[in-house]
Amino acid sequence: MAIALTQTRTAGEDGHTAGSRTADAELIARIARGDADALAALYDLHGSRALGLISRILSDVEEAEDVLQEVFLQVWRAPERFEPSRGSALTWILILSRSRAIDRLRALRRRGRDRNVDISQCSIASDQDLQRDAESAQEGARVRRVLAALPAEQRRALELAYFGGFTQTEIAEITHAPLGTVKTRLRQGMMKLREGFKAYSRREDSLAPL
Amino acid sequence: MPHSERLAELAPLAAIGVLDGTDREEFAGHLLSGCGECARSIRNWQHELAFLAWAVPSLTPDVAQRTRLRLSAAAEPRTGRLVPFPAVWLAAAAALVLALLAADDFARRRELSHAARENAALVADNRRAREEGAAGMLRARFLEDPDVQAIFLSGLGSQPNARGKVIYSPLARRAILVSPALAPLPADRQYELWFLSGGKAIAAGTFDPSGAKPTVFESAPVPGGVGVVEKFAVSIEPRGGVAQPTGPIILAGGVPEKS
Repeated sequence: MAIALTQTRTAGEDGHTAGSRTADAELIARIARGDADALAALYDLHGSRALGLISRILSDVEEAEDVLQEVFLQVWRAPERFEPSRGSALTWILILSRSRAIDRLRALRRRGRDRNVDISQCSIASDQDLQRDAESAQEGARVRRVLAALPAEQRRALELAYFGGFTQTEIAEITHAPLGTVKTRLRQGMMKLREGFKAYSRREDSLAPL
Repeated sequence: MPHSERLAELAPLAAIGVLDGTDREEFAGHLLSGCGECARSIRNWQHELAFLAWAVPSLTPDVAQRTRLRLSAAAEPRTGRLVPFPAVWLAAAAALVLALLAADDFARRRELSHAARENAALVADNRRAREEGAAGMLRARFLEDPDVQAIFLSGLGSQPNARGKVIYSPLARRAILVSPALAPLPADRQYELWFLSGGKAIAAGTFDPSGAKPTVFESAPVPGGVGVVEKFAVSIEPRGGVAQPTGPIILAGGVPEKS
């Protein structure tokens, strides 16, 4: 475990380096052999990034920590689902995290218990955020820059979808736009994100697909 | 349902999870028919969208959550081998997983039911192997490891019927306390665990009772320079803890002498 930790960069904030990918794959392999220490090590490396995402979606610490547990237990139960050829373990964990968080958010909404009701707080990128973003990791600043470059309507639709868990019909109602327009904004926004992230990705190692 | 440009346009919307109504049903049906192109498109989009996690700050989980995870994993020991998936089932499972990510609750329940039936044989096999693995782990970790000690704590004072067990590792310099049914406390109070060594009490961390479930608490490490830990105790203290015990002790027990 000590070797795996020293191979990662800054406090496990990103899984971008080839060394950290190797360490993650090693941890997943150990998890598959029933090594709970490896699960704890993976949690130490990537739990904070996953919890940040989940908390942003759920806006409730207790619910977010619960979902984080579910995600890592899912890793424990089915490590064979991780495909190293498709991306890093961190990417896999973030995909699971977002999926579980949205499931929980929608379930809470149906019961009238969600706290993420202030859709004006769905905004995550602005000139002001970029200017005061002194503490963000380099990747965080890059992502915000890519988002800020999107047309406002596309960014809004993506934020409502990705962090708000709203459906296309709900986004149309919230933004007072026709459904077809919302679909177009989402597709075009995602295409621009794809191009923007590719421009920042390193060739040999990134979260972008192979 | 054959692949089409219209369905290809729905793939990114499915990946971000916004599809509803007839779009969702149509696309979920298309995925389940086995469209590899759309399945790959969704996976690619999901990997790219994961970048958005960097748009929000990370959050350090509470240390108690790490302990909780370790204990939950320990309760589900793995067999130590990867369960082989036949190729056909893998393709179907991948399609189902992707459909689950894009579909609504009704479709999800339907697919979960299908997946559960398909997994029945694997679950039965794994259950037997898990039991064997759990027995082996218990033997290795607690019965055969000379370092790990189990210390029983007895109730005192206002909680004479309280019980606790401390799993203590001098090598790890940490203890895990397990106590069923600790009494609830006022909002301004917490339980505090103590290491007792050479007649002195060393703070080991504070925790809240878990209500109806057993309370599980992993201590802070024994500080450097502290000698052999001879006893453990739990007292009731102001929230946030204190450097030396001030409140009533409700659990206490000693490390058994080595024979």
